Amino acid sequence: MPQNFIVKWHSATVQKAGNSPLENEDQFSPVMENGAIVQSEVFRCALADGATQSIFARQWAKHLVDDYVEAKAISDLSSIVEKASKKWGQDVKNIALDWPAQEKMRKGAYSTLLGIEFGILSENPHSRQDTGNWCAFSIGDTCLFQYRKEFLVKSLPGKNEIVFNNSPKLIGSLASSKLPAEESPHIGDWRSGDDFFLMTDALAEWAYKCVERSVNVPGIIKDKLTRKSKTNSFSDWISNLRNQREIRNDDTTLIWIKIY
Amino acid sequence: MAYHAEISRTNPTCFLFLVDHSTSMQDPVMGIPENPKKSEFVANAINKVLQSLIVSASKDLEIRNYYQVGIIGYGFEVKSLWAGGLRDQKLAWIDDIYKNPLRIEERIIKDVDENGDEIEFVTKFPVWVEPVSKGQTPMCSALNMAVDVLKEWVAEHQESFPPTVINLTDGESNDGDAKKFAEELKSITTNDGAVVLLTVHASSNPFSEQLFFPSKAAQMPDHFSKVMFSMSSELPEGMRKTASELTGLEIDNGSRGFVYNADISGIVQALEIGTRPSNLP
Repeated sequence: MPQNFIVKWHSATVQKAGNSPLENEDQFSPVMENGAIVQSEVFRCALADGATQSIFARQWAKHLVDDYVEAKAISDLSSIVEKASKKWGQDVKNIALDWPAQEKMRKGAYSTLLGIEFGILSENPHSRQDTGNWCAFSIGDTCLFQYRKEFLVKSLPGKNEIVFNNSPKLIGSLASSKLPAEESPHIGDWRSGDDFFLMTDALAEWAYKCVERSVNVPGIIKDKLTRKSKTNSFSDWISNLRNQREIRNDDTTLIWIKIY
Repeated sequence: MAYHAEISRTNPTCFLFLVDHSTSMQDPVMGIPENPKKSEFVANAINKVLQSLIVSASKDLEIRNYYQVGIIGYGFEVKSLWAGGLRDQKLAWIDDIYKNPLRIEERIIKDVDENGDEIEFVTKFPVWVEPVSKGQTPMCSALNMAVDVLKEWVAEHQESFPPTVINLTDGESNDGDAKKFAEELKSITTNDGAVVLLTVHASSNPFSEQLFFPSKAAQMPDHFSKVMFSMSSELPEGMRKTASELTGLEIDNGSRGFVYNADISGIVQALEIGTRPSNLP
């Protein structure tokens, strides 16, 4: 059995205060227990943030992340989106809609998408790897941070490209929707022990501010994701950040991938 | 910072329309005979705004109660215009408004598809408000009623985005000094800021110049327009941005929420700017 690299997984998500968990429009794939370990020669994951103002955005975000992770090849984002669009269309076609929903249906659902695939560099897929490469798509304000020990190696979208406001780039669910322009993949490399953090916009905005102030972002995040006690959990932490107005009240999701 | 509260079901906001029902509202917009009567155009525009608010509050198969809405008509009488299932309410929840139109008409809408081809589709057009044009212009009484309604509302919604009041008129108050009542209205606050009072003055003259969100009283041509200028609030930043986006104009800091001699598109744009919340989730 190939043991090219190992991924250790942690994730947490909490809905916007005032909403129910079923109204959380952040979606990710795969869904695994915290601390789960995967041995593989390829590992993919994706995080999407459905746009609240659009219709059936939760379902759209879910199809996007699932189809990204299950795609034969990730290089052709438009075919991944096309497949997800057909599934979303099937989901909603028989739902009886009242006139406000019909109005929104004319525009369809919208979502961000951040997808990353980790691979190996060696031509011998059976040897244990301590370096490799990654390839990521980033549409919108869902962000990726790669840390090597406490040093930020890479962030997507980059500090100079990211704007946190109410109009990020989004992927539409209708066949007539066009993908935002210039969405070529980003590539990078990983070394054993690197940490990758994927975050939706509210937390990502906080993380970027922390980076500017030289705050140890990985240290804080790892602590919040690995606490065993039910008190002081991820949701308590997010709730405190919201109360202190350090982050916006929004669906908030964090994925931590340690690769080695 | 003011005007930053997020609009949510926990902290909804409020829109209150004051609609001039005076006899002169039966004249056509801009005095051009081919144009619709001001009363008909304004009623139609308010029905469209209510539809837009409902659509913006709709999420999948439900309408989320992000807003309470009131409509006060002032002419031969001053009263809340809610009727049918909403009768006797001063402020109605957006979900109840959705459920209680007076009737639903079907209208054909023309649009352009992604290929640039013209398309037509039938759409539902709910109606809540009918045109009225009878009587004087008791604007002070209407503003006074708005003061009472909103004092009560803010007492229960201190953390909310402040109420927006849009006064649609074609003339001067004839029951007193409207400025005094406007000041009282603008002094009502939540923790996020004061009530925003916008004035949309519908034009009666094809040759009069439309003034969109002026920033200086000196820009106003006469005493009457200066009074309406001073009655109107400074536009909060979010509305200024929306106004710039929609009109393509540069809207100065300190611009007042006032459109003088509004033509047909001016009325529609002013209503959209006043009711397109920038703080929705």
